[in-house]
Amino acid sequence: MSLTLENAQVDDPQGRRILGPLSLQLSESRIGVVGNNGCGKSTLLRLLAALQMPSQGCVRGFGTTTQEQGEQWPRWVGVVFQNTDHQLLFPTVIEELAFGMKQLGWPDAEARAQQALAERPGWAYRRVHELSGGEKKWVCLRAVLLMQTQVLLLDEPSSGLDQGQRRQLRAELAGLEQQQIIASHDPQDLQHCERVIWLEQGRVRAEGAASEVLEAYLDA
Amino acid sequence: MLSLYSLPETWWHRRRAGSKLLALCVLCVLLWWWPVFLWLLLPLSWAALCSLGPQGRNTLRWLLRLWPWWLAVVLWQTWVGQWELGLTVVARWATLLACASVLTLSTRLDALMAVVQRILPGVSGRRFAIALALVVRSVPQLLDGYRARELAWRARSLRPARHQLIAPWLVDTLRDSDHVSLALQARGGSRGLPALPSSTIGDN
Ligand SMILES: Nc1ncnc2c1ncn2[C@@H]1O[C@H](COP(=O)(O)OP(=O)(O)OP(=O)(O)O)[C@@H](O)[C@H]1O
Ligand SMILES: [Mg+2]
Repeated sequence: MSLTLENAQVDDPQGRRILGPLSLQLSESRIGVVGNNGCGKSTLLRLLAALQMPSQGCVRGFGTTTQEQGEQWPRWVGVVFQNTDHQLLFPTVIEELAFGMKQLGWPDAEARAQQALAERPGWAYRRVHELSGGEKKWVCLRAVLLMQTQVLLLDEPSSGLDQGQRRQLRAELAGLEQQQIIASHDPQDLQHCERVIWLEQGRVRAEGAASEVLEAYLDA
Repeated sequence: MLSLYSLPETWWHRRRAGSKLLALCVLCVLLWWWPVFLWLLLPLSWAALCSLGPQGRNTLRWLLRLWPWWLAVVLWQTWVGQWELGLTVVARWATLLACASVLTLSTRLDALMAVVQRILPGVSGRRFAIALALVVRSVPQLLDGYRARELAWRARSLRPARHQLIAPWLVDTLRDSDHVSLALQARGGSRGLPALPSSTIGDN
């Protein structure tokens, strides 16, 4: 069941067009969204995550639309925000990790969160706001992965990470079964995507195989 | 949920949340009616706080840093001719704050919420716990935000900032609350996810 945009468009409060109209069927298991700053990548992901409703058109998926059942979307779609400080809600790592699973009503949420921390001993009670940027990224991604959603939206997943951490992150993402939609202006993040969509001023400038689109994007 | 909870575990951690809460209530009443106990309980409560390890000692330091406020209370009461009352008020506050800190530092929030829910069945412990955790998360972050602005100001200015940073900081704070609501929404909102209607196809 793939996410589909039908003539979806987003206007800002002044009525200025930010995104669209876009019609896209997102069925490939790895999709990249590339484009310069301000082209609308994060806005597109917010639409797909049902965090924002389109001003016109609709976002379809899972037998419904975001307008009809947006509040159910977190069951199916997980999103890692561009800015970790905008995503982290709780004072300690363990609370942050367990939260999403508790929301889904899983009784063993905390045990699962503890398990996920097995590779990082001593982290459970660390204060989230004292973590480094890379460490916060790890917590954000882990918190979303633990919810085991069918779709994973990643907004600039490697920003703020050093080279080693980037490699580690890419390897980890490559091993996941979930569908991934990755927004980035770093072509390296998107090399392995089956399909790349190049956004420019809220519209699709080009799309297709990663190698071609990324090459054209870099040449532009 | 654990929020203010501190490690390592101590004797206090192993006491039940209900008994600790009850003890705190009894203490409140006791100090209200028989203030003479204060001079015994004040040092005891501080000792208890210190026994909780680094975070307990930090909390005590924070209490002591409020000394200008304590002093102001005593001075005011002296001014109106009741210096004993001033001392009693200050000692009562210092004792109760220390005891309350022992409770929050040694008790998991969910255990505390369970007690609250037993006493007040109408209260949604879950939403209350989320709200409390958000407050605990936000305070240091807001303070950090202010400090960061101060640094940014100092880096490009010869005079220290006075009131100028307050307005932008408030705006930032409001914007931060926007982000919090979006992040909460992304993981099912403050009430948790509603049950799935049977007509829907997708599920995990
Ligand atoms: N809340 C908002 N109100 C008004 N305009 C907005 C709002 N959010 C985003 N925009 C505008 O929408 C456009 C797209 O923003 P968006 O954050 O989606 O871009 P982006 O491609 O993610 O950029 P970046 O690479 O910098 O993250 C920008 O021009 C931005 O100014
Ligand atoms: Mg963005």
